[in-house]
Amino acid sequence: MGNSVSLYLLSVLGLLFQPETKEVGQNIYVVLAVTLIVWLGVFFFLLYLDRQLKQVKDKIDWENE
Amino acid sequence: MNPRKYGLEESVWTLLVKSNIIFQKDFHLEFRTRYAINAIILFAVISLTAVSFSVGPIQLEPPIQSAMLWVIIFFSAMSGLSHIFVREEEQQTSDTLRLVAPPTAIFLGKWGFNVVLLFSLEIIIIPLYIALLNVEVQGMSAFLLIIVLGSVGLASIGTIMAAIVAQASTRGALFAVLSFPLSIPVLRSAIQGTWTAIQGGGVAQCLADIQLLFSFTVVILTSSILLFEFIWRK
Amino acid sequence: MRRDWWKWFLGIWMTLMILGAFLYTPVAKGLGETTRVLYFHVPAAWVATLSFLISAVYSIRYLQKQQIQYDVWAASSAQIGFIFTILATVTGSIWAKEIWHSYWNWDPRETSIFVLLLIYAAYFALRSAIEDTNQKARLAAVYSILAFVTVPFLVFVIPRIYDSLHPDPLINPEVKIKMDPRMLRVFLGSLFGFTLLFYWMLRIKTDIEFLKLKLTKRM
Repeated sequence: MGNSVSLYLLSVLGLLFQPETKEVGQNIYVVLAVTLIVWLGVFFFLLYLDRQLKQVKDKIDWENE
Repeated sequence: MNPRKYGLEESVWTLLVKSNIIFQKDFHLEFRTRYAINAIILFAVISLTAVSFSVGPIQLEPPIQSAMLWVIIFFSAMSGLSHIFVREEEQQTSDTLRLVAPPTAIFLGKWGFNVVLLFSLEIIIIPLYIALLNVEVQGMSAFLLIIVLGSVGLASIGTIMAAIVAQASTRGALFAVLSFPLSIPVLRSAIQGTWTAIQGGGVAQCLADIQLLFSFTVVILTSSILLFEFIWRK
Repeated sequence: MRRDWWKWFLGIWMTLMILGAFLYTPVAKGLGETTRVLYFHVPAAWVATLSFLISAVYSIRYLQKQQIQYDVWAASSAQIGFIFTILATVTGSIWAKEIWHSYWNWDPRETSIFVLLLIYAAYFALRSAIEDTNQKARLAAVYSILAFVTVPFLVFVIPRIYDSLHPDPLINPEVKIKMDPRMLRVFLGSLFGFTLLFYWMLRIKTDIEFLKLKLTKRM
């Protein structure tokens, strides 16, 4: 599943580029990271679905010819 | 049709008789080849030795002692419990079995065999465990009760998962992968209960764990009996 | 195009919710700015649980009716649920680093989402190990139901082991909503939006699977 792999890479990136702050709970970047990860995850899944759909469509076209 | 002849009591009785026949068959087959029993007991002894050897002279705390015991029992169960259904597929005897007995009887018979297999493993492993790791069990009755209930629970999950795995292509690894998530409630409450029992807790102190083990086993067994027909039918 | 109006509505709705999460809502005491995680992390976890439930329901329907479309629904739902489980786990872990100073410390919520991940992984491992379509559907359905039966016990067992530090937005012993009304509005809105998004994804996924089935039948 290439999709899971990309999700995994994404999460690793998210964990690596997390800025450090001293104050607890004042890090707006955490919120940003969470939001981005959720949206990118959904986006990549939709891309994956789109690719699957295209494959099926191509197959149907090929069959009709 | 005479309703009394096919009444509930009658059918339960015939079911039990048939389950017993399946159990006897598996028992005799197993003790002729001793494949599963050798595998499971040797595996348990080796993992027990590994634990004891790596710990060395250090005296473990009760929580770690009980966790180690259940880890050994769990992995031994994973090494041997799937054999009961896998053998039927490997020797191509499952189709004959489908003809001669109802699914529920087959499941109960195989379940009984797995319970006996796990018990005979524990009869060997637990005295060794107590001796090698220098465990002082203060609440013996609660300890034994939890071991018995926990093994029945593990055997129930193992039996239904074995039935599933026997139909799949990659059997060995898949069995543990499928069984582990379902075994977590059993393992967790058994570890908790064993810990309490080692420290001298009686049945009353372990009651929550015992209740959970018992109810979970009953739920898994009933749903397994209901669902087994779907696995078994071709 | 008219039938798709709700997709446009969903786009606008989710944009509003994101704006609301960052601009409209106040922050909770002790959590600071990270309160805003609530509007994205909790709905993802909710969708993960919901898809597990839907997968189990369709598994039961499959065993009753033995029609392959129920299996397609169950498997598709599980796949989308798996994605959302990963999302909820990762985002929760990042949040935990900020608040609890560790990515993973086996908090009850972390344990239960981890078990959910394991169950999904086992489900897919089982599906990939069987060739025959009907047999795959049957065994996967049985496993899904058995896993579903186990979940209530996990909910009971896991909190007894460790104390939870996880904030309770809605699920707490007193069953009271301890939220600012503005927060609640955005939270419920986001929950609704995510559920709709899940429904959309599920429809696309199942349509693709049905097309694939038709193709294999024609060949």
